[in-house]
Amino acid sequence: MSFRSFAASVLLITGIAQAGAARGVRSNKIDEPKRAEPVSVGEGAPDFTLEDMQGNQVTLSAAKGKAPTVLVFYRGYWCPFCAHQLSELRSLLKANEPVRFLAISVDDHEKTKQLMEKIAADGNGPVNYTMLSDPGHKIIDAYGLHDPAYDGKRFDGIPNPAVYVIDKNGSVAWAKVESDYKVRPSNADIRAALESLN
Amino acid sequence: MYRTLLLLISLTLLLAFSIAPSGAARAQTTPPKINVKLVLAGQRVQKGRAVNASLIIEIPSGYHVNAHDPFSRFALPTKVDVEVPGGIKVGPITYPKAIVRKFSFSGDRLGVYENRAVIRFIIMVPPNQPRGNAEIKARLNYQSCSNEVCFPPMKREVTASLAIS
Repeated sequence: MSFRSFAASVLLITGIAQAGAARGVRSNKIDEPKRAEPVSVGEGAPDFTLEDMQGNQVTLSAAKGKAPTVLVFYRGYWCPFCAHQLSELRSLLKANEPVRFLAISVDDHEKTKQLMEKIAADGNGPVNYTMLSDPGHKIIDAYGLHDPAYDGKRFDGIPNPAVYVIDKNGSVAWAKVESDYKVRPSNADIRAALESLN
Repeated sequence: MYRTLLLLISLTLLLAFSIAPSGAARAQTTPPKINVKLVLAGQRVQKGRAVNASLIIEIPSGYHVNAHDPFSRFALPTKVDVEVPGGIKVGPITYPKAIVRKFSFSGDRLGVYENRAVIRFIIMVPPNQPRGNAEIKARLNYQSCSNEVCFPPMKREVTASLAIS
């Protein structure tokens, strides 16, 4: 075997190995994610309708032309980082501030209510924003937040944590998507994004 | 010879770089392999007697499982449910004492189990219980964490057979 053909073989084998490894991390046996990359600033926020904990249908576009929306995606009731973030977010908005605030996870109503009770147990007030269930993770997929690490597992559909600020016209004005689930934007960061809309 | 050596080194480096990112990703998201087994003090018991049972949880080094009382309201506690055939009674479930630790992912101190945790309970067989084999089923709910991150909760079911004579 000549040096050139040997080198070509090595490159080919390495390429195949890398492609296989990538597939192993990204494949989804049940359903391919609808969107590979997260929705980013300047894009129109994908519309959705989800049920809140009282059984009401909540539609994102219902706020169009009326108020901006803060949209939070969190990993689940079992995630301590998320619980602390959601606790802190109770103080994000001022009283009667005309901003809609929605938080989404794959958790069912029972688990979400348990988390809300745990958050409120510190005596600093109940969850004062709307919690929504996306058990089929369709909205999480539509926002490109699907975490492939949980594909085919019991918790398939868990999102990478994200916070979006969506302006009155339904466009994403600010976004923070974290692949490191230990990192969350501070309330001050989100507050600054809201202030910049005015 | 020199070219071959150079190629082998390059190949090793390329493979190392292609494998490392997926390995790191797995380390962050894959829960530890935790062994759970149900051990009875005896495999045979007479009617009207009791037998001690232990649910043994073996936790790899570098990981922990939240204790039954993990102190923090956001940490999901370890819980065991025991299912036995009709007539047989299960005594109170005794959880081991928690080890208190502080981790980067929580502002609170946490009560955890490390290495090996043994949850104990007693199975009481009434005098009028029919002879035969009884299946003892224990369902364990737990949440494991590393020193940096917690994983989604898990459910495990283990069984043991008890011969009633």
